[in-house]
Amino acid sequence: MNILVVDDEMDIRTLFEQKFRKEIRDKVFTFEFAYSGEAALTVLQEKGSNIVLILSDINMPGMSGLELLGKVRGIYPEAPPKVYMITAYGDKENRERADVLGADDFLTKPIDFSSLKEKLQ
Amino acid sequence: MKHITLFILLCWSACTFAQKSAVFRIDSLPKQGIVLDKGWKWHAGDNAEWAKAEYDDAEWEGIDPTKEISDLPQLKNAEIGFFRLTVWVDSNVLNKILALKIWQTGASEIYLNGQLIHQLGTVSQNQNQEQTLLVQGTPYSILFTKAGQQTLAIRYSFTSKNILLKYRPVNYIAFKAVLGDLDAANQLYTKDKVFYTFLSYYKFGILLFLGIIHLLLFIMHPSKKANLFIALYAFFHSISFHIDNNVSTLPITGEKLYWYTHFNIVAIILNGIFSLLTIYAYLKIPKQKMFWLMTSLLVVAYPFCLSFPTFSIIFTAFIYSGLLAFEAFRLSLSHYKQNQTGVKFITAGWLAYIIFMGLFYLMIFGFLPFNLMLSNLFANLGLLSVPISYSLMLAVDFAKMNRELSDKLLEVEHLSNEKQQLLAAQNETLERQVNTRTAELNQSLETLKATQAQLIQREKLASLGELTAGIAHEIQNPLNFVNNFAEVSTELVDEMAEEMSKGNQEEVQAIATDLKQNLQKINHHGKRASSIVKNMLEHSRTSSGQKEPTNINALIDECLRLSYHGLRAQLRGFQADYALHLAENLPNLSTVSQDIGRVLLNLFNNAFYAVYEKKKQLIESGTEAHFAADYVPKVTVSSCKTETGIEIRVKDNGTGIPEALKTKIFQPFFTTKPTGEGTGLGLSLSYEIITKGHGGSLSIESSEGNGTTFIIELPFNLKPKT
Repeated sequence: MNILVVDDEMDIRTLFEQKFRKEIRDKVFTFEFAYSGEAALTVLQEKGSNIVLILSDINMPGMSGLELLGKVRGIYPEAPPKVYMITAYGDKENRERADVLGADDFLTKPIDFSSLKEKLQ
Repeated sequence: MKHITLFILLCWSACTFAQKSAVFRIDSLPKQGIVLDKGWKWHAGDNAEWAKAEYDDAEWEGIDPTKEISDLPQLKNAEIGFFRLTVWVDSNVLNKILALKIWQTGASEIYLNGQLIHQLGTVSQNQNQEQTLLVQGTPYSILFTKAGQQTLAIRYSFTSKNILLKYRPVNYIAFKAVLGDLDAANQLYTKDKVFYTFLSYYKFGILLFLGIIHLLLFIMHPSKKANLFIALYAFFHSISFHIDNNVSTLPITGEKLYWYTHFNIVAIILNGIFSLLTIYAYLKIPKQKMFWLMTSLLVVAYPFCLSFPTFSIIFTAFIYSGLLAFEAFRLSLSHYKQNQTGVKFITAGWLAYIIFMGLFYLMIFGFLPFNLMLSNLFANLGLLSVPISYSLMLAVDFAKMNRELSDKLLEVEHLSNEKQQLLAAQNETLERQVNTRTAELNQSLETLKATQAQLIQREKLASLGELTAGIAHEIQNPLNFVNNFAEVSTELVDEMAEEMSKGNQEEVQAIATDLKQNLQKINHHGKRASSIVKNMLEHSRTSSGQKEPTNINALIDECLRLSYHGLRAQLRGFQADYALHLAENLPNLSTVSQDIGRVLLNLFNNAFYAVYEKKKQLIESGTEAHFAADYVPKVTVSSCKTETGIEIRVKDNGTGIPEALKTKIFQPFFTTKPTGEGTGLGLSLSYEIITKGHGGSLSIESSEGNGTTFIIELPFNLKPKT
């Protein structure tokens, strides 16, 4: 299962790699990391439909997570990857906008990895 | 009237010296002299032989030449002829210069024993050559060199066209001689002459003086026309006196006498006119009928005066002067009750004139016993009373005016003093008010300063408030990592224990490496959060003002993130893109980093606010696809090195600033934000910090609706402007 993690905080990679240490080792999940919305789109272009899930931060400089969501929904009109939005702000407005743009789920920081693992499985 | 005087004088002299003796034996000389009025022979015609002593005049007719010419028809008809008189001279008067006092109304040559001793005028039968000399008692010398019989011959002419006939009746004696002591005669003559000259010049002088004084007064006060008229009056009056002096006291040719008389008439007439004009001007009344009547009378009468000399005397001396006197007196009397002291003077003056001249004429015409001194006194008093009264009138007026002026001056001075006191009082009040106001203003200033300090503090707190959410986010992120790494580390420890029990040393080693890395991450993110808190504290704290080397790019980055996250938290629906284009290897600048940070935060906040506003406006105006499509709110911050320093550009594509507001945005308290949202001090403080605090510049480029760019220029050599 190929998952794309988008966040402007680079340490997110370390965190994911340690959290999903076993799953990565057992190749249950593979993770791609992008540190901006623009970089995420590049990865998507390269990997295409291999990416089944996108975990994206909302607040990023440049292209925000919500914009990325809009674009992803434009790129993949059929059989799109699932998109989970992650943000520090669990405010109603962002959630609503993410819903409107077609987000599949909404996670708040700090990421509850146990809950995420369950969802992924 | 002066002619009358002359006449009187003649009569008097004649009386004084008259002697009734028929035979002229000149044995001695009485003090009063001997009038040669008897024994004269006359013959018409002109013959040089007739002057000689030896000529026999037995056939000649007897004559009394001291008679008036009109009473001597033989003389009048002949026009030229000889008088002869034979005298017997005693030896005791020999070789002694004697006086021969002469009166004559013609021209004569006096011969003693055939020898011409005196020439009085030019004797001629030809009227063009004849020159009459009017002589009145002038003494001429005569010397008898031998005793016994002597012959006195007078060649005499008085032509029918004699100039004297033109202007006066010939009622003067033809020729009269009085023989006397020269010294006594001279003494008497000189005494007379001096007396009359003195009198005449005295009057002339007084009037001329008055004339000059009043003319000067007129020049100084042209509005007072009475002064001009009285000056002219006095001048013409003085001229008439001067002429009178010449006519009365000197031997004078007929020619001179003729013209003097005419000038005199003109002068008398003019002084009369100006006399009346003076009264009109003084009383401020229009010219009266009498004035016009008198003027018309003059026009009509003057040619007659020239043609009929008798008339001229009667007219000027009686009719004109009389009318003038009564008119002047009538006018002054009719205004006597006016409250003008001067009127009383002219009334008195004209009254005196009428009285004295009346007395004078009564004396002349025999209604009163004649007295020369008295008559002269009356005439002079009468003639001088008017001009003097005029002068007194104007002098009194002038004095009154002066008094009034002094009173007014005092009044003005009084008022001025009052005003000064008032002014002083007002000044005092004003000063008090100024002091009070100044105190109030100082108080206001203090209050203002305090308020300003409060406002600045509030602005800091406000911006801090705006940042709180951003700070929270910034702190949240590292805290999340701390939590996550701590959590994962716990899991890794468990895992490690598990692997250790399995004896999987390699895996244990890998986990240990991860653990170490995690601890470093925790440490890093902890420090990051700590740094944010520290910065926040620094922001709220009063600036130390200490400059320290500052990494501008780092400051920009930090502030931009704070601003961005702050606004995200604060503004609903805020979404913006931001980009940093920071030049590498920028040197550190010595700045008060807190202050520069505040400026940057302010500019970033404004930029984000502008793009947020624009997006909001687009949504409100119903623009479609507002979320993703057409408008992308963006703030771009760039830094670069210039020749003189570092330039920071904060560019947004927001609402832009209208041209009209560009000059206002740096003014304190100017804000476009809704009430309560902005203090209006952000940009003005920023401007102060950059320009005064760091010697840089803060400028703006903006296009309404398209966006704004703020440009900060910080010089390498930072010198605060004083």
